[in-house]
Amino acid sequence: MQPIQSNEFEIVEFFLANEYYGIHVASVREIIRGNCSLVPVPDAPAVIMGVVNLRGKIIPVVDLAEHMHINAQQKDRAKRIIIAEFNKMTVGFCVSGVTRVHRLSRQQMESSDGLIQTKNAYTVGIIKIEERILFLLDFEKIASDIINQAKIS
Amino acid sequence: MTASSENRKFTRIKSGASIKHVKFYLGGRESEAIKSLSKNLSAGGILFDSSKSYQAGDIVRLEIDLPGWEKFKPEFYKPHLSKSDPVIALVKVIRAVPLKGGVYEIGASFVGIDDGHQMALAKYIKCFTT
Repeated sequence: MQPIQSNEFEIVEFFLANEYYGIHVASVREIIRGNCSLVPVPDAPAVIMGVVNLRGKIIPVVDLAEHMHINAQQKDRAKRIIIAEFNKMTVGFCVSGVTRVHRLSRQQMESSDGLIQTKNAYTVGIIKIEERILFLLDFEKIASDIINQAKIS
Repeated sequence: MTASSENRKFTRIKSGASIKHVKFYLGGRESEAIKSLSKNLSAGGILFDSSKSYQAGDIVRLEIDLPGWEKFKPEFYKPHLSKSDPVIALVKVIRAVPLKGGVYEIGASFVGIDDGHQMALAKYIKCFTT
């Protein structure tokens, strides 16, 4: 594979119900199966499904469908868990499935500013790949908002 | 360490391992961990004395110092490279029995432990039973 150029970036494409999203490869530590044992945490915000112990590290796991208000069937909400790492914070995101990794140029990304219907405040860009529209989300902001909410509750 | 299996799923051993425990909260709101010793241990749970009582159902973060357990971890073991990190697990308190002198005997089962680490713990315990 060619080395990545300065105007390129890589994302992991995943889906939640029938909507497609992207997360920067650099943030993804690993992807695990959704049927791992999650420990429910009392007093945690509703969007936190529980915590998982991965090789001795206790990681909160977020129900991304719940957080994004996406109407996904319960059985499709957590088929995979994307373990993401940001600036000393590690969080798992439940998703319906992971599709593939894409290398994209920055020109392919459209800003979400002009859209009337942005997914929500977490969308940082939109990319069209084949016939699919992918929403690039600010996962670090999602994670820090939820963890801060957990601290307060 | 001596073994006892009774009718339990996992074999128990008497173990005076050093442990640290603290009630688990999300978002780093945990207080300082309390040091104590385990009384017995299996791959499914632990019995230990504590100066702090817990309620049944509490989730507690536990660190257990078990020298040598890392040899049974699934990753490739190299004596000069592999660290003897403690076993880190979340346990659910099953019972807390007050003893004399403000000490509580806490019985807890592992609810959040890495699958590979649980298998390593089971193998470690098996060494004391055969």
